[in-house]
Amino acid sequence: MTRQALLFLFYVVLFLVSSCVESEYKVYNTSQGIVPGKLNVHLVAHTHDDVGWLKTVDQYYVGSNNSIQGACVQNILDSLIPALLADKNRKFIYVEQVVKSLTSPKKCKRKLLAMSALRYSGAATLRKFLSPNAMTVIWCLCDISFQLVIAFFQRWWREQSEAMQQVVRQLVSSGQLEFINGGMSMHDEAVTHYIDMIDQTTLGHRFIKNEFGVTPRIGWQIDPFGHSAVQAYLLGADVGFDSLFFGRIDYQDRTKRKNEKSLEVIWQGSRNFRSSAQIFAGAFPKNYEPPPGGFYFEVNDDSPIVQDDINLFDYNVQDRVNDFVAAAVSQVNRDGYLHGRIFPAWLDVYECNVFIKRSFIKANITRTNHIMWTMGTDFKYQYAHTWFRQMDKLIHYVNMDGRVNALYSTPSIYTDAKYAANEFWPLKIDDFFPYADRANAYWTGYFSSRPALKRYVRMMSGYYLAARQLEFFKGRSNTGPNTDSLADALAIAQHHDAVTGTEKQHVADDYAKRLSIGHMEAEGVVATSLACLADSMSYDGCNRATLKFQQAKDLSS
Amino acid sequence: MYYSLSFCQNLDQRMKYQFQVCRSFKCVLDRLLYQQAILQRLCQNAEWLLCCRSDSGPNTNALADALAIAQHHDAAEKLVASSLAFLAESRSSTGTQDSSHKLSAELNPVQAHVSKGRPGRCPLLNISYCPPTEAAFADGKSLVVVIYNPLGWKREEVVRIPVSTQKVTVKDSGGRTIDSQLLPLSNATLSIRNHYVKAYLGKTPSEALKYWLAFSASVPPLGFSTYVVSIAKQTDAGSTVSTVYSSEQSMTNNIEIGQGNLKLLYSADGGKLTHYVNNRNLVTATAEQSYSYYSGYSGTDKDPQASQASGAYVFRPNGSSPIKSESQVQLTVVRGPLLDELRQKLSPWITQITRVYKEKEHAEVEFTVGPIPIDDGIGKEVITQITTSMKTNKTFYTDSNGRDFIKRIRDFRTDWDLEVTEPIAGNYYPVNLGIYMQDNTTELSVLVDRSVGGSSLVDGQMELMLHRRLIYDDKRGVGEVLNETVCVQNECEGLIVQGKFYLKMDQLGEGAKWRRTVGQEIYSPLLLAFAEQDGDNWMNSHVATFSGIDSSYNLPNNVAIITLQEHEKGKVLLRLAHLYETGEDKDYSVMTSVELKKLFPNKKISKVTEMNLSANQERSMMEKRKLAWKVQGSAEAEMKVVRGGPVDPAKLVVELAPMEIRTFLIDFDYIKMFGS
Repeated sequence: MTRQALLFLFYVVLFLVSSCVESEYKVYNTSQGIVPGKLNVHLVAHTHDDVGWLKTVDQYYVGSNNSIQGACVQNILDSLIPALLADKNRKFIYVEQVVKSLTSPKKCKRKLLAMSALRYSGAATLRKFLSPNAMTVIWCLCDISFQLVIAFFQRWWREQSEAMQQVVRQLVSSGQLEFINGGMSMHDEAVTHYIDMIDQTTLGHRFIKNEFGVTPRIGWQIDPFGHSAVQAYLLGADVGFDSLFFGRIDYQDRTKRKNEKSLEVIWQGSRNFRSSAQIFAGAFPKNYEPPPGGFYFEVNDDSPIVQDDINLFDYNVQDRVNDFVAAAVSQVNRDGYLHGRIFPAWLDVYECNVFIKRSFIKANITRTNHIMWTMGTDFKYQYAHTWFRQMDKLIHYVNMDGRVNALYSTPSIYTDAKYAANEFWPLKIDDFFPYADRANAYWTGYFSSRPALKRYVRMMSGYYLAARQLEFFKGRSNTGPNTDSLADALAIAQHHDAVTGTEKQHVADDYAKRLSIGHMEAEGVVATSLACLADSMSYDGCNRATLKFQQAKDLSS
Repeated sequence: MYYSLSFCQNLDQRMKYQFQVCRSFKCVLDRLLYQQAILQRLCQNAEWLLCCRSDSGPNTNALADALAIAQHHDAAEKLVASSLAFLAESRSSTGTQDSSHKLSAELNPVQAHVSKGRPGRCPLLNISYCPPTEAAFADGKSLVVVIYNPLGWKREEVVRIPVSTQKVTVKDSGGRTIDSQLLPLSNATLSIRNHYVKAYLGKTPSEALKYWLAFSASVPPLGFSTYVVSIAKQTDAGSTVSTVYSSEQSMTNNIEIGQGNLKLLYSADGGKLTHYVNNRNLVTATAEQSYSYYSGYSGTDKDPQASQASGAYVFRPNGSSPIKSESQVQLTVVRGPLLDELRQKLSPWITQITRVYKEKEHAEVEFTVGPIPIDDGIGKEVITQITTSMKTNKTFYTDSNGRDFIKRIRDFRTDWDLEVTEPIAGNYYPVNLGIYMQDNTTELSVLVDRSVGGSSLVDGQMELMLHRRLIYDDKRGVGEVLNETVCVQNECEGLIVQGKFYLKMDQLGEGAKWRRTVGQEIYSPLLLAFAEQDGDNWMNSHVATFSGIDSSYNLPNNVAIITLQEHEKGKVLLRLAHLYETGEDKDYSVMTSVELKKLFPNKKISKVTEMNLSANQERSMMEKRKLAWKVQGSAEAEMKVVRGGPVDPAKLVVELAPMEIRTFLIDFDYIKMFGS
């Protein structure tokens, strides 16, 4: 009796397990490209990583001080690579290049141990999608993640193994991982000086060029609080960007632009250069987050995941597909109009679907049949698989449904699609200041917030310019002292929560400390150079000193 | 003991004796001489540090330094953690005392900016604290001031350093005594100095600082000049001590400031600015300047949905109040051969110094604001207003990131019909370089030393927001109140902010010259380095004036080198910026050119590659792959856009059209570069 019951139980369990295993294996078709004639929903996976705001840049990187904000950029970059390797159709954009750092990197170790444990279990579920080679990389990544690094992408990069760097290079050259904006930070546009903006962009672009041989195509100023003419024509067009995207414009302006389909414009920011320095510029319909309707997929986010195992409870594929289509439609029709007809909020999803099926959906809020979903927000993708797993499923099922076309995309692909449509675009001149997010809320206080920090940044800006001249006269030393640390400190100080004065006090102190350390080192350079120039009785003196050194070296070799 | 130059040149020869066993007298002598020469060499460098005077030797000093720092560092860290201070650089310098000491221990030559070896550097000049210049004249020594000009044109400017003695004289590199002026320190300046030195360094400054010494420096482009400040001998013409009048002595007449073209007139009773007169360009105007504050909104609206406080991001005023002194304004007039100053204490927490230099046509206003009182439970946002009778028709101009000026019209947006909900905050714009307004005859410009918010809320008036201290969070995520404080021994008070703005009036259409050219000088101030000398040997043994570019050359006043950076040996990144917009100025808004050969004398340029702005691709490649977007209604004929042409590899002349920035990678021929 007992024996029979046990045997029965055994068979039941075996059946359940085997059926479970049967239904577990699914291949999601994520290879969809743009489909002409349909509304194309470009899913742009991104994370917005402030280089200091509530925590310092180092704390964000290593993930310390999490009682203030749970954010660890290192986790994002670490988990991103295996997530991209798992499916070649997945794409990601990374924005902030940043920065050297000061604090000891040991703080994050425990958290990382925990995170890497998570990664091991995640890796197991991914195995079926991976070639053996890719698997090795994942394990390799897990191993090296203990070599802690101290910055966002740049610092992370420098600490990766040769093999890992090769993998990342591959991802960059295949377009799966794209650098956009590419400056050291996402600089503010109101209270920054153009020389600082150029310097910090040059620094980031130079790194990307040297390491990956690529040039960023897209301006991505999604968070700064208003947008400047200089950003559009100088740090956009003259940098060689094909388009510029941003999230914050005046609420009254936005309403009008949504009605007139003029969120996307050709921006001619310069009265001197006009069309010769114009750029395609897109303001997002709302902000730089996923659309409303439950599309946040961080580990502990409460958006419903796509449950597509028919053998388990809470199967919800159709619901989620409907949510997706409804969100796409509402982005098309944020103001409740569809093809000129009122589209009231109470219209339920079914009616809506019927309605939509009858008439092909066209992008109404922006021109052409392409809309962008910014899939991510501040410090998201700390465990990148959770996002990609859900997006894989959404793309798979939404395209099976067929009402709209969903695809993994990037702002570059989106821009090319807009360009290929050969449309006429409205003209925009001057700038987007001041910015109000609602009545009585004008973001014009930060123009003056923390005036001492603003002055310090400006002083260092002028000093950096002079110090590099003197460094050149003397001959630069790559091993230091040189002006590099001042360059780094100034670059992050341009961040839209740095010189703006909108960071916490301890973070403001951190920026000042970095500037001070950079200043000290640059002072050394200036001092040596002036001494050298003054000590030598001719202009060539400094060079002659270098020459001597060179000769000595040549002789010994 | 001083060695001739020829000896130094023979050093290499003599050096070989170091590695031989000496058998001859000559060898021994040469080795001795060599060792002494090395010492001398070190000391020449160390002179810059002002640190080599100690008899106890560098090791002991280094140890003492290290101990001092170890004690110091905790305090400094605490300070860094507590708040960002008034003129932040001073704050942060204390946070890194250790690193600066490391440098001095290595006998790193010259301190840039301001220097003194033993107690580290001297970055507290802004709060009038600079022990090296204050103490430099002990034992008959003199102070050597090396002044570097990062701009491409020659500059004549008044520089100021704090000194503690009255009998000084300033000589230029030719040994000629030049005009100099001593300005006594005001009580306000002294009390800030004492308070903030204590906050940053944990000690009270001991030296009795008495004066600012001002003298006029003339500095070549991308180069330096040297001046020597020493104790005046009986025969020397000493520095002129300024005459001082203060409001305690009764002033019955109106007060006039300025001995050059510009004169500012103030009323005798209230000490208020009344008139602005420029005798050269014949601009005369009634002009007032005043301070007031906006009360930060508390955010307790009836409709909780609309609730919004003034905070770090959002400006939402709840009425404004002029700042007036309860009693009569205390004012002091300081006059001398180089500049006049008017010092005013406008309230218990606002003072300002207005300076008019004899050779300049603008007024320089140095404000000191704070600690802003909040004990009445009201956050305050302090502004200064300049009021004239100009008819400006709601229009003013502010810069975009310090570059293009953009026309602003009060309560108006080009792109939509503005519903005005915040008549003050909704008219504020960022000011990085400056703000100006104009009427049919005149324009009034104000330039700033940092980014601030500014507006023109009333015709003929402009305002700048200088400081903010608030008591509510504006709920945009930062979760902290914008309330910066500075603490001394656990006693915290609101941050004091000091800064400058510059003011000028011109005939209509002539203001750009000053805004652009002087604006660049404000961005790139002269850089000061200090050293000390015994006797008079500095000028004989050092290069006193230097220019990094061809001595016969200077850049036109409409071009700035905004980047000159060595990437690697023989490779340089060069960025040139035209500073004027099209039509801004009749003389300077024109195509201009820069001769690279003269910019890099003694170097052979082998290749010049024009790059895009961020220098990651060739400009021609970028232009080639530019997308050609179609613009609605762009049929109207566009003005022809002008840009400089390609650079001829033989002539090496770079053309720049108005507002153009051009970026180049330049390769130098290496052998030629170092050839004699």
